Order: sequence, then C-alpha cells, then structure tokens
Amino acid sequence: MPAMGIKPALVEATVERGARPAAACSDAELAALRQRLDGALRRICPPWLVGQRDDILQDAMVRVIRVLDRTGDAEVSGAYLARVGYTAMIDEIRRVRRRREDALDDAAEPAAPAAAGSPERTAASSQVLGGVRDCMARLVESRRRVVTLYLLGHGVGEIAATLDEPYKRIENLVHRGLTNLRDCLARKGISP
Amino acid sequence: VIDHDLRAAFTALGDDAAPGVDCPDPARLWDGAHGALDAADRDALLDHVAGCGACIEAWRLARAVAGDDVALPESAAPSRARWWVAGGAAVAAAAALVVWSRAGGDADAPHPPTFRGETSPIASAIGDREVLPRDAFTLRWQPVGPDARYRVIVMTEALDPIHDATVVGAPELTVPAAQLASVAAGATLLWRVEASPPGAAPVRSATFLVRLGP
Repeated sequence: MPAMGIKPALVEATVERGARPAAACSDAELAALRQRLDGALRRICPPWLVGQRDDILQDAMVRVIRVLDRTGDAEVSGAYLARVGYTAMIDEIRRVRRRREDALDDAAEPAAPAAAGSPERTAASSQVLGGVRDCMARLVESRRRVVTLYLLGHGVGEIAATLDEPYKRIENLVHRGLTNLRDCLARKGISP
Repeated sequence: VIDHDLRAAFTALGDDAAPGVDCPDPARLWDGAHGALDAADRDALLDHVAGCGACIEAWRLARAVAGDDVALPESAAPSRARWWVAGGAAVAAAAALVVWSRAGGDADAPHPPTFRGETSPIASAIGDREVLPRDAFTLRWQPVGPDARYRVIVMTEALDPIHDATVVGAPELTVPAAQLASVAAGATLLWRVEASPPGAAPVRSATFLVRLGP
C-alpha cells in the first residue's frame, strides 16, 4: 500500500499528462515533496484561487516529477520547489483571467465592476489607477526602473545591490522619481 | 522616501488584471524578482512590468515566497500575509488616494471622502496612525459578534510580517514587545483583522495604520 495514498493520484495524473512517475522517489519522498509544495502554494495562493489549489499542486508535482525523471535525482531544493509552485500558480491565474476576459468580451451586457463598492468609489479607483499607469510611463527610463522596483517593495539598499549601483545614486533616483510621479499625479488631480 | 499610498496604488494595478500576449514567462518573472537575470534582460523585464498590472502582481507574488523556507509552517510564513496587502487591501489603499475634479477643482470644493475601510464592517477602535507604546501595543477593533474568532496580521510598511495571531471573543490583541524589537520607534505599521463569526461568513477589515512609540 503506497504511503499516504499519494502515489496512485500522482501516477494517474502524470500518465494523463504524458509524464512518467519518478522511479527514483519513494512514496514517502513524493509525499514529502507534495507537502512542501502544498506549503508554498498555501502561503501565496490568492483567496479567490483557493478552489483550484489542488489542481495547481498537481500540475506543479507533475513538473517536478518530470525534472526528477530527467535528472535521475531523488531530491530537489526548496528554492526549486518554490519556483515550480510559483510558475504553476501564475499559469493558473493567467488562465482564469484570460477565460474571464474572453467571457466578458462575448457577453452582450456590460460587465459588472470587479471591485465591490459604490460607483463613485469604482470611478475614483479607476482614475487613480489610470493616472498611476500613465505617470509611470512618463518617467525617464533610469528613474522608472528604480521607482518600479521601489514600488514593488524593494528597499533602496536592495535596489542598489540588484542594479550594482551606489546606494546614494539609487536613493537620489528613487527620490527624484517619486517626486516626478507625485507631481504628475497632482497635475491629474490625484494626490496622496 | 517611504510612500505607502504610492506603493499601494502601484500594486493595485495588478488587482484583477488580465495578462497580455507579451507577458513574460512566469519563470522569467521569478528570476527577475530574485535577481537572477543579467542586466539587459532585467531592464527589459522591468520596462514591461512597470506598465503591466498582471506582471506587477506576479512580481510581488514571486517576492512573497522564498525558496529556502517553503517548509515553514503556515503560522510562521510571511507570504500569505503579504498576499492580502498586495491584493485586496491594495485596492482599498489605492482608493484612499484623494481624487478631485480638475474641472471643478477650486479650493472651496469639498474633497470627496477617502475610502480606507469604508466597506468593511470591522472598524478600528484606535485612531488612524495613533502612537502605541512598544510595551503596550494593543490593537482594538469593533467586534462583529460574540465568540467571533479574529486573526490579526501586523506588518511593516515594507510588508514584512511582524505578528500574526488569532484571538477569540475579545476584539483586541496585544503584540508582544519582542515582536516589535526590530521596528524603529516612530515607524508606521499596517494591521488588519480577519473575523470569523460563528455561523456567519468571514469578513475582513481594511488595512489600518498605527505608529510605534518609544
């Protein structure tokens, strides 16, 4: 009897998708892999995608097993597992959103606003988002890249290390870029 | 140069955004977010991400999971907490930017209201950006009913997790001083409540701001 009933499901899934189960892995190893992948997915899976998490997990496991088969290894690093789980999840997010957009394109009636709230709030939010997008595009290239990283949550020191630039230069670019961004937004009637 | 509202507005571009035909492969986004691309490839990727909501979201998700800690128990993992800031809360925070009409933008015109927390039944019971002492850092909110279960998540402005705990009944939570040891006095922290009332659907609060005292 396979450990924890994991392998039959994997065998079925991998055969369905044209892959071969990793001969090098024991049932327990596969179960452990699945548990680690599930842990990674559980932490990053957006709430609206929870219903598809098992499918994403299965897809990610198939990808891992294919690599194990190719390499003959029985182990993969945590970093690799995280990367595989991430790519499977982003693929699923993209699939869902493309399907939704196709459905909206096909619908005869206008789509309902995605965000909950009053029409005023929705309009205000759209105005802000459109303004941010336009103002980002207007930043000069060197500032835009640095500001992009900064707005994505990277710290100044991290950006400096990533871009291999002096800390002070990055700090200046962030400061000037954010100032440009705020000025541009203000001209559009949008202010923090 | 911390600017929470700008960051929130930028990340909100990713909420519900559909991918384009030219969006890069997720693996490349992962590599870019983890500094594994050469300069030319990274610059090209950033030029795309700056104007693509779907890839902004994907980049942030890539940063939210670290390779070496995938086996961490959920209670110790930061990424789930990051999601709610990158996702739903970002919309509310983006909408919290004050917008006024250019056409009617005279100084006497009333500003439309800010929207932070407008639609959530869970309101903060402490002031916006109120300063709480490090040794009595107690967050309070309006209860949603008796015996409700509340999950409270506290993060830095850079979205690093500080505390994630669940309480039952009393609508308050004291963050242990040890959890705040790495946070400088005067820093602004983000906090949020997810409530599960017995027999009712779970609800979440907006993201609130509080400052750490000495």
